[in-house]
Formats: sequence, C-alpha cells, structure tokens
Amino acid sequence: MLNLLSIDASMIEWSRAQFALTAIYHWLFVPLTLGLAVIMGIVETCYYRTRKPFWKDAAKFWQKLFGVNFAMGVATGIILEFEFGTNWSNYSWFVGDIFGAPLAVEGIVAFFMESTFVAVMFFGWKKVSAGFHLASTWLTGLGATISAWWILVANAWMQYPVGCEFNPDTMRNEMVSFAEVALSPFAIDKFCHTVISAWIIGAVFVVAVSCWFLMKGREKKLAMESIKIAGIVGLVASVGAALTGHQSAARVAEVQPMKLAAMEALYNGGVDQSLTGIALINPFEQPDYEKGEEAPMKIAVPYALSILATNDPHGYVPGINDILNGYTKPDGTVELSMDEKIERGKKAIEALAAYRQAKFASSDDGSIAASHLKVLQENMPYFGYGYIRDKGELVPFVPINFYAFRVMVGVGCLLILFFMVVLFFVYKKDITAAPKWLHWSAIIMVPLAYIASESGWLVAEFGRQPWTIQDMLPTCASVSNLQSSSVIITFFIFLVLFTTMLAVEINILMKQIKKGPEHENN
Amino acid sequence: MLFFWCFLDIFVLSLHINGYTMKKAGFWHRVFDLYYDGFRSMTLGKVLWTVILIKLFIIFVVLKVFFFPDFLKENAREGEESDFVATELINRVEELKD
Repeated sequence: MLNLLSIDASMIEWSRAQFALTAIYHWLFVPLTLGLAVIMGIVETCYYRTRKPFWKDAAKFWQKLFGVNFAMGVATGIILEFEFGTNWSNYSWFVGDIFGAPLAVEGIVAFFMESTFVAVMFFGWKKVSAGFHLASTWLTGLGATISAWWILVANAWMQYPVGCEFNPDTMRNEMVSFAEVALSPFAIDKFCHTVISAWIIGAVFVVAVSCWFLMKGREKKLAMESIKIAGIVGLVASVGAALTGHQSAARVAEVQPMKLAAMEALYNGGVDQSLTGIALINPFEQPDYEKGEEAPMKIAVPYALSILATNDPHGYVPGINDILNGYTKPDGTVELSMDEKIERGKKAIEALAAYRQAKFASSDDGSIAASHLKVLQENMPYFGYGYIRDKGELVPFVPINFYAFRVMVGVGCLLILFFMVVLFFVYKKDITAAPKWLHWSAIIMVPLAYIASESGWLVAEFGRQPWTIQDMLPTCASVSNLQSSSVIITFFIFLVLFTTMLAVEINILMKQIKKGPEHENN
Repeated sequence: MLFFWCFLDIFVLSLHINGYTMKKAGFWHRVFDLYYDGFRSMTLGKVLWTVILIKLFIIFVVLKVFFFPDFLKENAREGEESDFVATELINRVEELKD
C-alpha cells in the first residue's frame, strides 16, 4: 500500500491545470462539430427540397470541413477520463456509480450512432437515397448532440449532485434515481445553453469562411446562400444563448450562490441588486471582500442582478460575506454559516471513520456502527466542508469569474449585433459588395466567439471552486496522492500534442477552404 | 443498450440501402460495399485517417500505458479499493492540516 505522504499543494494545482488544458482544447473541436452539423443539415435539406446541384456541392463542402474538425476532435475527450483514473482517483471512485451510466451511454451513442451515420454521410452519396442521406446527415449531428447531453449530465451532477446516496461501505455515491440524474434541471439548463452557444460557433465559422470567399471574389453564390443560413442560425442561437444564459444564471443563484457572488464581485448582498457592467478589479489578486468595499469605477445596471438571479427586480441576492457568515433566504430558510458547515463536515468524516472501524470490529453487534451511520447521514450534505481549513478557501478566485463572465456576455451581445448587421446586408443591401470591414469583422468574430465560449466554461468551473462535487468533495480530497512531477510532465506533453493537433487542423482546414467546393455536378 | 444500437444501425441501413442500389446483392455485401468503396475512394480522408491513427496510437499506447496508469489498480489490492479510498479520504483531513 502507498505511504500516505502529505499532499503536495502544487500537485492539486498541476492536476487542475492539466484537466483545464485538456478540457479547453477539447472544447475547441466540440462546438464547431455541433454548430456545423446544424448548418450542413440545413444546406443538405435545401438540396433535398430543390435537387439543385448547387446545394449538393455546398452541402459537400461544409461536410468536408465538418469532417476535418470531427477527425481532429475524435478521442480528445477520452484523455479527460484517463486523468480521472490517474490524477483524480479518490473522486473517480467516489462518483463511479453515477458517472458510469451517462458515460457508458455517451460512449455507445458516440461510437455506434455517429460512426454509422458519419460513414453514410461521407461514403453514401451514390449509395443511398437522397432522403436517407439527409437523415444520416441530421442523425450525425443528433448523435454528437446526444453525446454532449450525457457529458453535460455528468458535469451538471458535479455542480448539483442529485439522485444519489452515499454508501459508506463501498465509499461510492450510488444512483437511486436515473431520471433525477439524467433530467436534473441543472443539466437541462446547461445542455440548452452549451449546445445553443455551440451553434453560434458553427454559424460564425460559416459566415467567416463565406466572407473570405467574398473578399477573394470567389464562390459568390455559395458564400451568399451560406451567409443567409448561418446568419439566421447565428442570430437565433445568439438570442437563444442569452435567454438560456439567464435561465442558467437563475439556477446558479439557486444552487451555487457563491459562484454568482464571485461572478459579480458582490461582497455584501441584499435586495434590489444592480448588475455590474464593468468595474476595476485587480485581475491578479483576490479582493478584500471582508471589507465589503465596492470595486472602483463601477458602472451598473439597476435591479438587473436581482432580475437575473430571481426574476424579480426586488429579489434578494446574497453576497460573498452573507454566504460565508450565513443568511436567511426570503422564504425563511436559514443558510448555515461556513464555519458551521465546516464543523458538520468534520463530524461527517469522523463519523465515517468511526462507522467503518465499528463495522469491521468483531466486538460490535451493529448498534455502534448504526449510531455512527446516523451521524454520518445527518451530516453527509456537508461532508466536503470537513476538508476546508479556513472559510476563505470557499471563495472562488473572484477576478477570473468576474472578467470571464463579462467577456462571455460582452461578446455574446456583440454577436447578436454582428448577426443583425450581416442579415441586414444580406436582405437589405448586397452582401457581396459589403464593405471590407464587415468581411474582416466576420473573420475576427471566430476567435472572439471561441473566447466567449471558453470563458463560459471558465465561469462554470472556476466559479465552483474549491469543489469537484459541490459540497461533497473538494479538489484537495479528490486528487490522487501522486508526485506533482509526473503531472507536470504530462501537462507539457498535452500542451505540445494538442497545439500540434490544432496547428494540423487549422492547416488542413485552410487548405480545404482555399480549395473551395468541388463543382462536380455542374 | 449496445445491442439496441447495433440492431438500429443494421435496421436503418437495411431499410435504405436495400432496394436502392445493387438490388441483387445481399445486405452484408451492400454494407461492406459502402465502406469498401468509401475507404478506397478517399482523398482528404486518407490524411484525416492518418492523423486519427497517429493520435489514437499516442493516446492509447503511449499516454495510457506509460503516463496514465490506473492509480487505484496500482496502489490498492484487488477488491479492497473502497478501503483504500476510505483511508485516503479519512487521513486526508489530517494531511491537509500539516
């Protein structure tokens, strides 16, 4: 058995950094897959309805770019599962029974559904009927979206653990309700917001490629028709992302109030809260929230935070200090202070130790174990707090949450404006003769949209620190007892591997875009 | 679930490939033909498959074998993983105090 050495703090940080790196790179491929799937599905539907060769060429072109991205993204997510087993073994065991089902379904769907219909989509143009080909194209996208659903269910469960019961004998959380896990309101909100935001990435990409063609004076018809489709998809998705984002924020306010307080740099809460547009917060330092002083140069929208969090302009939103010191919710429910939660967490861990000792002691007739089990069950909702040494550890790093949230929302608003301008030029002017700044701004919007999308994940994941599983298990307890050197090595291996893959993808994509569509049917 | 998807895959393929091309050929032959012809006439796909295979080799052979062993399998006795995790989680509180 391994010697229990003191956990190296840098090991936790490197493991987190490695997981973040892998997830960020993985998320470069996923949203483009989900977004392009919708566009290519619509383009092929146009072909199915009109049977004009132009649409077939256009569908093949976007499918080719989808294929490049799909190939580059394949299996990048599996590395996250390797990391669970090596770097996060305690966590992995603790959640095994909950994660097993969604990840197994995801694996099966991804493999069978996507592999079958992707093959038909690429190889089947002359082999199957137009209707079946169209169905395969849509089902390829649906398969990818269903895969995303199960992954997001797993992620949502970590943020809002439901439908489970902790078994102190097996040391695992066991699923008691598959429906509660799979249809958790947090998972539904997360899925809607994430997938809709992925459609924006696909739409921006298509508009950008089309604008590049227009700048080069090539493929005008393909560019114009594609911009029409992508512009509408992009505008609908951008507005949809704003609406689902509001719903997600309300859910976060309900189940992860500390995340919302960190996003807003809200130190002392209350009713009638305004939403900060911008304020000056030192990006490298945790602010002194205990003092409760408002950030300088703050420009805020009155009542907007209360509306965002509670759908009521006069709604109560707790700040960081309220959450740390305990507060009473508008419905009268008392939220315990963090000190009290830490005490109860420690009780839970002590009860777990005592229960296991009594359970395996031959002298116990079961009554001692039962009494410890009772204490454990009473305090289990606070189990993770037992690992917290100081309540300050329960406050996520405010600057990252604050700025990442503003980048996401700011770019999101810019995207709505961008798609409105694009559609204005498409329907009221001539997009082929649009000013160059519009074409250039379309190209610039691609990295911006990605930055917004990744920022959303930064908010989601940094905002729930220090938890891997909300209230149940913090990162310091989840991590394996490894030496940080081994994680550092793999961190840099991944950095090189993923950067190379990204460079290869961009290179192949650029070549295929420059090559343009093949006009074999004209 | 796995059988369900296998069945669904075969079912939908049979419905749609069937009767559209090569009416005289059997179902499995038609499925084989779809993949065989598809792979044979790939152009860009050859590059992508090369990238995929290199990537899979790096991920499953190099990374998994040499850098990502299963921590519990390596450190806990078979069947005693729960004891190992319990010891880790119970003792971790004390370790964090240090």
